[in-house]
Amino acid sequence: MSSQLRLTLLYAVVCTAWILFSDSVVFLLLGNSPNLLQLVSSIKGVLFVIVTGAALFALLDREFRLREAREQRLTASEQQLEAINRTLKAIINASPIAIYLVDDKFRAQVWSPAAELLFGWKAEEIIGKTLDYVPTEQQEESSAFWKQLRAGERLPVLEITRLRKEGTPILIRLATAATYDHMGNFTGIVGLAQDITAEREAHTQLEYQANLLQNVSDAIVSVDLKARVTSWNHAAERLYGWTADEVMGKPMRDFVNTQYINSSVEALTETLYDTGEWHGEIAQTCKDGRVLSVQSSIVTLKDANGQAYGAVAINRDMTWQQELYAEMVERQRLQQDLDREQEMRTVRNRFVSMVSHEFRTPLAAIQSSADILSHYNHKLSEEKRQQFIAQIQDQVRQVTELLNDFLMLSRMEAVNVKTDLKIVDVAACLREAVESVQLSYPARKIDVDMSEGCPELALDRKLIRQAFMNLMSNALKYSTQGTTVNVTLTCSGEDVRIEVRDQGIGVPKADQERLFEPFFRASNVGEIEGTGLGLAIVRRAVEVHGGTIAIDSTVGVGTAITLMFSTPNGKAP
Amino acid sequence: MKKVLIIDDETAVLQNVGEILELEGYDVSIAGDGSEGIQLARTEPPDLVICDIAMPNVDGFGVLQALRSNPETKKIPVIMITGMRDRQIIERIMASGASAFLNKPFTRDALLETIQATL
Repeated sequence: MSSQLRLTLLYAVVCTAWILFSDSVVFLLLGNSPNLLQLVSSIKGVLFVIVTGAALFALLDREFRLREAREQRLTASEQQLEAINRTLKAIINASPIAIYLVDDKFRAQVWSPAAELLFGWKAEEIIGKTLDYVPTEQQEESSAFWKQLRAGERLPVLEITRLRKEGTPILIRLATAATYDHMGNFTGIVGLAQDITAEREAHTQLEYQANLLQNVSDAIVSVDLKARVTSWNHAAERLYGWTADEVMGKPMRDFVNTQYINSSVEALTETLYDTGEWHGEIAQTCKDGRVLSVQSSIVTLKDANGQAYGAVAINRDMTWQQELYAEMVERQRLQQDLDREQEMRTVRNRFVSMVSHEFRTPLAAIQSSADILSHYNHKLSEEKRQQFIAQIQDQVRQVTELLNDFLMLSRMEAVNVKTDLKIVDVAACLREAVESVQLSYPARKIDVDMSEGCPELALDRKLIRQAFMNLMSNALKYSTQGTTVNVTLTCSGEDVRIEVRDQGIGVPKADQERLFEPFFRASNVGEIEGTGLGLAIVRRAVEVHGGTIAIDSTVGVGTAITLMFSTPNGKAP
Repeated sequence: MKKVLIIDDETAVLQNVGEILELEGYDVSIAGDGSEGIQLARTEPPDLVICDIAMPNVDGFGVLQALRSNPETKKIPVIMITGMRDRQIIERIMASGASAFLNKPFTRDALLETIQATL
């Protein structure tokens, strides 16, 4: 029953009651007083009107106020609701996460711009239509989800594949919730979806890189600004013997002692500060006390603002490589020794072969002369006989000479530079040699010119005198009677120079290079006898003393052979 | 009378071998080096050549090769004389087509036997 009806009925009851019972009430109250009754009867209508009017006014006023208040409240709620709606719309529109709503028939009701981007459908083409985005193979699973949501269950955030408008699959992270009307009836589902393809790829990439970092063969160690270990890969565990658990968060120097080769920790810090990186060799001690040779590359770690927050070192163990290198060097050295020995053996064999040849030739002559004398003695004239005897004597002399030279050359090989060298006055030694040679060639002139104050040299006296003698006897042997041989000793500073010059037959240019080889004789020696060892002895003698030898010769003009010795710091060579 | 050409740069040996062969009744001509020997062998082809190996310029092997490459001297037997006893040298002598070889120093008997066996 409405309040208006209630009021009208109440008013009718009051009016009827007043009409029926007002006189009785007055009579009861005032008693039997006709005057007073007369007065009251005359004004009771007015009174009634005043009382009922006032009551009616009060009632109406209250009603108006109530209505006004209700209307005001209603307007505010509507405005609030509208504001909420607008905010919600703005959120949906602005959200980078795709937001969409489907009704109980899976028809799209709300479709945010992010959903447009994610799935490819425009809001205007999908709203009101069935959303067909579940891949065939996932229809069953999707129906199960739908049933669960419908039954009021909550679903966890899913990472699933859905289809875009053009049919390409897309990996999304999807949060869902059921929606209900004011009566609590299921009306549909709201979905919040995000593309996680790139995220998944990045994650895979990160996992891969982390894995790589863990498993590379180089030790990778990062530290913070206080040199406390912030990462320590498997290779670092293997290299240093400390596990990541043992070292993480603690200063690296507490575990690994580092020595800088050709650098220092100050230089490293400065280089890192200047260039952001440092490369060098270090020696590091590992857990078991072994010292490793390590090739290290250190790079400063910086945050997005360029602020350094640590450093990462990539350390490679070079110990085994150095050992390998040392082994290789040793093997090369052995090979070289072997090669040298082989070469020496070849040279020796050749030399022995040449020596035997040189000895056999005069021996052959002796043999044949003796054979002639013994077999054909009766057929030979006395003159012939004497000739063969002389030949035997001559050949024996030659063999003896050869033997002497050969022994001299062999002795050279055995010279011990450290023990056999004595301080020698070169001038005196040279003079002795001149005198000795002069005895064999009494008719020849040897002109000697020696500068004063020559430094003393550490020499094997016998060898060097033999060398001087060989040079002089060669000069006399290959020059004609009447010409002079000049011997000059010049000294300047640390250098000592001995020159023997003749005016003899000279050495052809083509032969000069091989002139100092054992048994080599110039092509123009003709009948002049020689062993071919004289100059080989000279060269060897000079080499033993660290000197050099030079030849200046012209065929038909003469030859000059110069020996040069140097005395560093005025001492013996 | 068999003609023998002796080629050797060592005068003493050359003369003595020549002397022995002359005394044994051979017609001997002598050459002091390889080139001269090749020349002589061509102009007056001998019945036998006795040649030293170690000689300057053209050595015994050079002489042998020159003789073997010329049709006129191709078939002349050659006895090589050497002071070397290395196996390589001996093998090389055998491979080069020499008829025989003599090692220095050799006796008159060895010389004559080798010549008789070769001729």
